[in-house]
Amino acid sequence: MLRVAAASFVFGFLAVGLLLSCTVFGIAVIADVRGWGSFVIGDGPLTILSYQRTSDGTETVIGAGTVALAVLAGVLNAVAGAVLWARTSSGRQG
Amino acid sequence: MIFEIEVPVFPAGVMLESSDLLDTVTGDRVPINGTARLMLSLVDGRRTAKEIGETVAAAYGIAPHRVTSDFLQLAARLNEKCLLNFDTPLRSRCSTFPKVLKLFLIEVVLGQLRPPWRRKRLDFCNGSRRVGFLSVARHLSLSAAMIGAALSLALWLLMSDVLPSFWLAVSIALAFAVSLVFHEAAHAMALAPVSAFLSVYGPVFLVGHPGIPPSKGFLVSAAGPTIPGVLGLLVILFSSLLRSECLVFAGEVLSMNLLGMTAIAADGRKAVRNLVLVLNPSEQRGAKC
Repeated sequence: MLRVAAASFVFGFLAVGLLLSCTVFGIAVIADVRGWGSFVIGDGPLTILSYQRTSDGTETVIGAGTVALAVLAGVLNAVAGAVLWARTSSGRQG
Repeated sequence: MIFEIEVPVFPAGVMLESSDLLDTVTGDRVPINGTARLMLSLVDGRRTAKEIGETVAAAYGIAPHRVTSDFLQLAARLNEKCLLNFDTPLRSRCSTFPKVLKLFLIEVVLGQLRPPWRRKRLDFCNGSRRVGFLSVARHLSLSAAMIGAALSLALWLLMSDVLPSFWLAVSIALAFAVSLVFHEAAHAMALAPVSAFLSVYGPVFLVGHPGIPPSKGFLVSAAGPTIPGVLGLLVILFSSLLRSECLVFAGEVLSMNLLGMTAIAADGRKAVRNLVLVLNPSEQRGAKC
């Protein structure tokens, strides 16, 4: 059970973390191309993306919110994986 | 729903034997009785279901419509198991379309949603990774392009403010098509040189294969979502160099494949199960995936 949960956590964390990072990166590229003004997605320590347009150019920060969301996805995936494994095991025994 | 005017045909990997149907790819055998064997021996890719029913009815001296109805039920069950395809001519397909649409709408009204399409099995050569990739690409490209175009059109109509350009819609359609083909081709590449077949069920593509060890099963399950997903990440990184919105959206569509590694997708669940079997040899004894 523990191994299933650990493997599911790693898969969920990596999948959502990578997807979120590249989504945020893509939003920054679109903001640059379309000339959007400064904006922030998320708040405080849970900032996902901070895009600042300055006189010198633009500044993009991928915040800790991305990691927090990836951890949350990993935990949810671990729970789902453990539940599925428990159901499969009980099905095999029963 | 299968109609009388449709033409049943055996896929290349299925053989009719004296008392069963043999799937030469998976090694599965489906036992059949004498009547079913007689019906199936008339499947030659030219006769319609109605003609087969009439021939068998004449041999037994019973009402043709009853035999045809039995044959259609048998054919539907074999189609569900990827053991029988329907190679219906375009003219017949056009003539059944109103019936299909009517039945579908009736089922929607009754709250019984059943997809109007049927399963099609495509046997392909998987002798090496390159051959497997090319075979899958050749078999799926047209269907994937059509599905990609339909999805992209829907997105374009729903989100016209975000996707103002026609070329954005084209790039999303292409990305959907490439994503579908690469996903299945990656499964086939990881599976090579084990023989396999593609099952096309409307917009759902599956790779069927015989039992394989858990370590290989993990690679096969993980390759599908991971390879196009990583390709998507590279496309998005590349988009910043070219400052191209089209590449951003295309990369995003491809990288969505990564969600296939989570428990919400069948590939992710299989990957976890196989990995646990690999890590826990006591459960692995004799296990096939």
